[in-house]
Amino acid sequence: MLSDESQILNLLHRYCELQDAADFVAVSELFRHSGYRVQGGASLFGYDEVYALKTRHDQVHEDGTLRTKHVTTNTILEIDPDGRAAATRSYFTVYQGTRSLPLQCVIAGRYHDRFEKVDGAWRFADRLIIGDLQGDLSQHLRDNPLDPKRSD
Amino acid sequence: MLSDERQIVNLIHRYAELQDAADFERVAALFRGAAFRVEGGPSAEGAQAVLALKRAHDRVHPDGSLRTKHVTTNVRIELDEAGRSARACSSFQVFQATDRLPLQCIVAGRYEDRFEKIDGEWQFRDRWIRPDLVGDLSEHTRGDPLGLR
Repeated sequence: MLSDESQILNLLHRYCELQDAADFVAVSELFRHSGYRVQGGASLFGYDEVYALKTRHDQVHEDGTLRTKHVTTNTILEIDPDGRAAATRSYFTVYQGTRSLPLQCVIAGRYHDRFEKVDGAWRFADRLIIGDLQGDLSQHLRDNPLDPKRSD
Repeated sequence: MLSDERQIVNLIHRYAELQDAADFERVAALFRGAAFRVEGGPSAEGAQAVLALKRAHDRVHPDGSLRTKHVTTNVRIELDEAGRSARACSSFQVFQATDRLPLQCIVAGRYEDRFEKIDGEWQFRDRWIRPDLVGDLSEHTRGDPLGLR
C-alpha cells in the first residue's frame, strides 16, 4: 500500500503524463469532481468544462502529442490531521520541441492543488494554475488562456 | 503527521517559494540560527544578516517578485540515527523572464544543506549554495555578488 504522500504525488505526475500525451479524455477525468482554475482567467469545474478547455486551447502536433514535458517540482505537501484532505503547492516548467520550435522552456509557473480521499482513493478537488513566467507559447496554446492580459 | 523526510522537503521548497515571491523577511526567518553561504560569494549568519544580503543583491521587479522560479530537484536526504539532524543535497535551476529577458535558465547549481529538529520542528542550520553553471544574471542580482566581472 502506497503512503498518502506517494499516492498524491503519483496523481500530480499522472496529470503531466496524460497532458503531454494529449490524452484529454483521461486528463479531464482527473477533474470530474474538481475545480480547474486559471489565475486571472477561467474558473471551471468537472469533466465537460475541462475537456472543452483542453480541446479548444491545446495544440496537438503531428505525432498526436503536445510535444511537451510538464516537469513538476518543488511540491510542498500538507495533509489534514483526519487524513481525508490534502493540499499541495508545486512548480511546473513546460519544455517543448517541435519542427519549428527548438527545444526550450515555454512557460514556468505554479499549481496550487487540493485533494480529497473518497472511498480510499485520492482525487483532485481543486487546481489553480498560475502562469508566472511565459515564453514562446505559439506551439503550445491557441488563444492563450493563461495570458494575464486576456479580456475574457 | 508528515514524515521527517517530507517536513525537510517542504522546508527546502518553502525557501524557493518565498525567495521567488521576494518575501525576504520570511526567507531570512528560515535562517535564524543558521548560516547562508554562497561559494565564491557572500556569507551570512542569522536572519538579520541574510535579510541584508537579500536586500543588497536580489533585484525586485515591478510586480513585486523576482520574476524567477527556483526549481529544486534531485533531493537526497540523510537522517542521523537520533532523528534530530539531517543533511540534504539538491540541484537547483533558476528560470527567469522579465520585460528585457526572454524566459530562460539563468543559473544552475547545488544546495548543500544541514537541518536540526528543534522543539519538534525542522530548521535550517546551514545552506551552502554552489552556483556551478552561470548564465545571464543581469536581471536577478545586483552588485556582482559572485565576483564575475
